[in-house]
Amino acid sequence: MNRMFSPSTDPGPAAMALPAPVRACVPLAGHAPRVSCGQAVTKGQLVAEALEPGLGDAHAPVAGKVDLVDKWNVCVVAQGEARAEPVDLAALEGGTLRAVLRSLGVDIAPLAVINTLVINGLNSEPGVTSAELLLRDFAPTLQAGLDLARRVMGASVCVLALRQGVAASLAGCDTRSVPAVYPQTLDPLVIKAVTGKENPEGVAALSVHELFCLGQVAETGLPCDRTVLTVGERNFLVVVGTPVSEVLAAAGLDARDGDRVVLDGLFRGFTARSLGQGVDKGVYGLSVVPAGAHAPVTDAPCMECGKCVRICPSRVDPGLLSGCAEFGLLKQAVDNYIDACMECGLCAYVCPTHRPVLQYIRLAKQQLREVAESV
Amino acid sequence: MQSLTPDKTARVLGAGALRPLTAAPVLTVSAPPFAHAGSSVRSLMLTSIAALAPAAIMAAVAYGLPAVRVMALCGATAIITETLCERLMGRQSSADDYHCLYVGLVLAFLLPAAAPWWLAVMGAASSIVLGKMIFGGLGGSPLSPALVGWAVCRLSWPEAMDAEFSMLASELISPLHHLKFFGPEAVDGITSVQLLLGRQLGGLGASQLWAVSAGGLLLLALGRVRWEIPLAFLTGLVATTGIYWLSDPASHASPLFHLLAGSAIFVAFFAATDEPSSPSRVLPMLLFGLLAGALTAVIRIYGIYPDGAPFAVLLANLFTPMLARIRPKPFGAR
Repeated sequence: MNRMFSPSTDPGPAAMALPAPVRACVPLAGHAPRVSCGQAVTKGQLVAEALEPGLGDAHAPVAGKVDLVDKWNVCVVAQGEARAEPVDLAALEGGTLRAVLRSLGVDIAPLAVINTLVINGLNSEPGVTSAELLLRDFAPTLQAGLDLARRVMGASVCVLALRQGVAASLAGCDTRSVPAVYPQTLDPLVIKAVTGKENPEGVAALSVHELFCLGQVAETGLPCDRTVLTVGERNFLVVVGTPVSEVLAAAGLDARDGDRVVLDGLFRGFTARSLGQGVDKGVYGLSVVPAGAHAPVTDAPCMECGKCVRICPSRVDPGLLSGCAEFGLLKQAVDNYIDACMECGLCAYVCPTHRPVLQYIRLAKQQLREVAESV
Repeated sequence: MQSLTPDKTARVLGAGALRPLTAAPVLTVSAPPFAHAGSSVRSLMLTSIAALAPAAIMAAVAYGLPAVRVMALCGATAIITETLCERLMGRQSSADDYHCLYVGLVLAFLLPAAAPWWLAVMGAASSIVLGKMIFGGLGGSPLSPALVGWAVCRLSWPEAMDAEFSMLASELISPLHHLKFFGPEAVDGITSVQLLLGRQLGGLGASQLWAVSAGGLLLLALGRVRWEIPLAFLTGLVATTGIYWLSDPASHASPLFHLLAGSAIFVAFFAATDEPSSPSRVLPMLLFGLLAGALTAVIRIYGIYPDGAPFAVLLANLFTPMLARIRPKPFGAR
């Protein structure tokens, strides 16, 4: 088995808690800022409103003074200990509960009404161990998150999917061992391993990181403000908005000109625009990919070698889809099941011509979404 | 990479960007994945060329300088042709990915060692022009490129392509010719060991059987080619010739003879596995291989050409788009 895909090892020592940053930058994506520069904010105060129905709002992770507002960030210089008023969730139900959770920064799109909830207790990508660390060291918070999730989703059945040999449990959940080799660690494939069906009706998966965020909301009545991420061999408990430079420094890593600073995992993650960018909610990993670590992507045509076709867990033809995207053949992309793609990134990982296959597929999906919205 | 000054950075990132820390590095931003398996077209082709090396050395040992000359001519012509085509197409040259060299060498392996210089040049040039570049270059070939060049030569200059005819000085014989023109008794005396040791006339490299097989197994071991097409090809050939042989052993050669004579094993590993012209999913690959193998047997038994393997693969290539339609339902499809 390729070492790259082998299941991650033990999460190691307890997560190192980093101090709250002196300047926290909350990343925005699909939010409209609702504060202005110089404004004083309390910890947990709304700083930007979500523009999409399934997305949670953004809040100040520390109390202080706003010193930057732009399209991508709201930055707060820490000052004082003022907190927003906690929300009591106990009495809330159904739609009201959803709306309140959304106003507390929870992405409610994954919280569909279903009857079977699968908790994906696997480290979702190679090299990441933070999910299993959460299961080991933050079980009470996860339990609070699970109870809240079940209240929102109405799930009568709950299954916790774990890597073979991981001893963890959540009250009210059956525990199941499932294969833990990437891409089997992704939600749709974990659901398949648990239920034996592909995308079955009435089943949804939540990751441990999503539960951790929900758990913080359930415990404090305030927006989620911490995440645990794997950097190198260790895990760090980080306040949301901590600049990546501080996390890298704590882990003894540094980034130079041209390097990629990758948040989440190497297959599905995203790159930081600068070292000042804050860590977002739910980020589970951070790594530095040195400039020139591997050949750059090229605009070479597909050589039809079939490697992506054979490795694709969605059983689509990524090379063909990337060609459809390249030439704007959106209908052909739909006819070739572009919607089945789960964006695992393996196609571009194996591509000998270094085509940006996943990027092309995402581009076509985005264009299809825009077409659907414009109708 | 050019390093950017902070003020330049602010211009690049736009106004209101995060204020860079003092001398903060300028990061690269890109889409995932941020890991790569490490293979490149060049590494794949170099692996394939390395797998050709044992048979190339054996060909040089068996036929001497003429064989080296044909291989050099084919390789060089392929590289030059591709470079010229790309110049004409207004493209950057990609000859340095070694694919054209590989195509040229595969063609050389199918030519007789006594091939005249113009035959090697015409064959290699038509392999690249008609087999690859007119379809847009690497990845576009509907037919295995080296076999296109081979077919052009085989149909245009049959005497020059005929190893038996063009190498009268050699004491070796071409077993498939003798089978075709003198019947199975004529090849009774040829043992499998002789064939394996390359004691047969044919393509200068394709007939170095043990070395070709070693190269093929190397390709499998390194994961450069998958087992489906070569195995299905040879299975199709053995099964089809086996049926004929069992039904009438007096007028047909044994399946083992068909397996070891001519270019079947070479074509199975090095030409049928050309990726653009063959399917990429497991079942279609197996069907493609079986079809090509069975067609090889049929052409050898009924056709006018002693060795049907290259033609059989070209015919099977035509089925590739149809075979590619055999595909599983995508994940989660109802």
